[in-house]
Amino acid sequence: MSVETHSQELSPAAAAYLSRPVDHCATLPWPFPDDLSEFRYSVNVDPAMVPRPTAAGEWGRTIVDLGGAEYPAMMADRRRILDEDPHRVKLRPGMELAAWDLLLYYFRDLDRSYPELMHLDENVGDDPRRFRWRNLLLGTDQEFVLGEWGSIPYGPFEFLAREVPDDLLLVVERDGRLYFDAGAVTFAAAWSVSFDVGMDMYEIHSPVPGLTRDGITARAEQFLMRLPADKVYRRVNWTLSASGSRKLDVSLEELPEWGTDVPVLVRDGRWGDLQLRIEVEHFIRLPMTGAVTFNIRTHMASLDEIKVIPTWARQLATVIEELPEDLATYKGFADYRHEVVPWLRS
Amino acid sequence: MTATAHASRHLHPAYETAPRRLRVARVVRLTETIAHFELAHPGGGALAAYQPGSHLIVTAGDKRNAYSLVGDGLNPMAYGISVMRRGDGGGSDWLHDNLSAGDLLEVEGPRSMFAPILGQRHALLVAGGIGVTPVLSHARAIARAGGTADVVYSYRPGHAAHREDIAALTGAPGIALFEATSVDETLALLADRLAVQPLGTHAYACGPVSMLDSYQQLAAAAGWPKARVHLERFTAPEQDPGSPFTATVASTGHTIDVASGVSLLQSLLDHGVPVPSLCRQGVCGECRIPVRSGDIEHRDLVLSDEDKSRGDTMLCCVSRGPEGSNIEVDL
Amino acid sequence: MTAGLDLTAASYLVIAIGTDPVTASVTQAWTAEAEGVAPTTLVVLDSMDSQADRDVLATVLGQTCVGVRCLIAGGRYDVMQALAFARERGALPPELASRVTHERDLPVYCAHCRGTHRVAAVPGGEVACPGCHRRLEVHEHHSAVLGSYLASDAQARELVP
Repeated sequence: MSVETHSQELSPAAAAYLSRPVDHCATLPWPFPDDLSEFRYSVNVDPAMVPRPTAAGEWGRTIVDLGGAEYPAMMADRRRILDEDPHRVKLRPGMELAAWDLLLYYFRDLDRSYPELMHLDENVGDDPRRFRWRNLLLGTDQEFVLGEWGSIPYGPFEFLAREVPDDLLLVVERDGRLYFDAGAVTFAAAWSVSFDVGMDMYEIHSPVPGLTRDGITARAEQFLMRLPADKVYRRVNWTLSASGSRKLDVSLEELPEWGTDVPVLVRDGRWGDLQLRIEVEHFIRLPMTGAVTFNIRTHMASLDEIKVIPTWARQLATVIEELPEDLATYKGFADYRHEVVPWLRS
Repeated sequence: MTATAHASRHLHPAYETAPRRLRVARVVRLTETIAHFELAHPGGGALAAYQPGSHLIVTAGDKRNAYSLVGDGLNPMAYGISVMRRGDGGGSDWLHDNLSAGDLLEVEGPRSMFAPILGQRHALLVAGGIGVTPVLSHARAIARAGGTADVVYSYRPGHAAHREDIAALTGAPGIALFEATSVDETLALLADRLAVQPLGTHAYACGPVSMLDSYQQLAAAAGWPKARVHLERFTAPEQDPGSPFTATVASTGHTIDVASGVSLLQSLLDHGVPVPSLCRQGVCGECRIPVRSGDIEHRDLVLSDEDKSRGDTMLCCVSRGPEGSNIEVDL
Repeated sequence: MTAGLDLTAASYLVIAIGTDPVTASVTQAWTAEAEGVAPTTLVVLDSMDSQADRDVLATVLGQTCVGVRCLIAGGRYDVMQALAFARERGALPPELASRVTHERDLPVYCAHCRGTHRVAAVPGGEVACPGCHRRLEVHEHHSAVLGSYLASDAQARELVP
């Protein structure tokens, strides 16, 4: 099966979008507030779609950050992973409608967030279930019928995963508990989507030190269960990436491929090649099913890039230095943080 | 901060659930006392989609009432509600007496309080009287998705609203309709159907209080775990007046006396503390407020046992403190 | 377990898996007690690795109605797999009870070859993957849906000198 694409010339707007120079720091969702000097896990949620100025620029105006000129390469990487490994997409029984709910929400949002680049035609042929989706950056042009799984290549869930850079995660409530019942994930940070789908929030978070003990899992679950239908929220999470390059796929499945990346950098003292990995999560209650999104867009910046912004380098050094040992171990840098911190300050 | 709140709202109008005016497209009389109203966007276009079993809050004259939507909820171009004239001069009577095609009606929602379990392998749907409306919504969604269901419909002869709509769904394989027209017949039919549902079935019921009580008792007697037994109540049982207690408003530090027979909700409103509310019977969940401390006598039908034991939230229209106690509300 | 027999059931399904004598005595005791409460069916299987046994279990579960309580006994691997199998066919946690009669084996899900394997290991320990032959570290991370523990390459982060 292949997506219907037209290898047409890019529209002027699409060409202009893709020819803008890339400046990672200018659009990087810097994860720490200006005054923050120590990091602890919390349910640190904010209203979404609010532009946030940083020391280097601004981020957060839209739910989906296409990534500028890097978008086609990021999507090619994602489609390659999905082609090679069908286990990256997993839905529990009964999640089909939630997949449509998600697809429709994102296409409608993209149509309005990027009016010159993305189009969703609704009510095609005066049939409210018939739609046409066009993505001028990737050349996608696809009609589909809402609720008919076979009307769209790969089904709605994977089709959407092939159009947006965000990893897609859906949670649903049953008998007072939230379950992670659908995932299309290519850029997991050392976890496995094929293993985790179907777990409740407590099972999923049991490997994170203190998260459940300190009541954070319970508060996060409460927040998501009570998420209002009329507002979108977001949260920023971070770590030092397990990859020694901008490679996003550090899933547990691929551990043999990236396992020695950081040990090599540490052995050679190449601190500037280490990557700060930032994950922006968006929480949206979908109307047809009540499923809630936990979608994750991953951003990377090397410590070399971060060092160009002195306030960022200083703040990151302080946060890393101050992190409790169990969290530093969980995030994977307990062994080398005493060397990274002075390097960031030098 | 206002700009922030506005910015986090959905960009597309088909996710609008705030109070807004819809146009009455059509009025259909279903029975002597039940009329069906179809509502559409005045400018055309899709309305907010909804989960089966959702309701719409309708401003009916000087009342705000909740009515179940009867559609399957998938990208609707119209909302359908069916309203029974009660003859008590309330909001339902107002809709019957005042509304005709072309009029504008203020609505809010849809809101979901009676949603299907997404992974259910089969459904047992139970309707009593006008309680058929959310059951029809469930049945339509199941039929559309190719699922299976047993529908039990209990009604008085001559008052079977939407019976033909449900019968039309039984053309699909796997949807069966079972009917009862007396209390005894209903109880026997319920016991029969509860005994033969395949593992993985979830049951959903809406109707008068007496039928819902029987449904719960029969389900328990047939070995059904609570997690499979879902229901929606139109009205709540009578509550006793409760004991006097006090409430402290965290933001101002003011302490308010709540007398026996007066709700915490009313006491808060009387002291100028705004709290949204709707049914005032512990059914809709609208007046749920956060609680910092104090013992709570939960008397609502919304919160789960887990919510109640956590003690950090309450429905202030019906739930109270024990005699002489103090509850600190996080308002 | 006897103290915990759920007396609200409308029927019982007792499932014995494997040849361990403790499994036989536990399920016989359950059956005797359950029969005094409600209609009871006893199913005896060799192994959750046997397709024929899985087919039998699927057929039996497919014929049961809501109101049933499933009581499962056997080794750790078979019990965890059977619980997941029953959940996959619609059973909820309050409808399932189990007794692990020995811990000589463990179900692990290999993140690399994506197989679920019966291995002699403990959570937190190491074992060779029967599927892809990697040296695996068994995480203390368990999925009720898959009925297994997560495992991943134990040596992937080591630099070869």
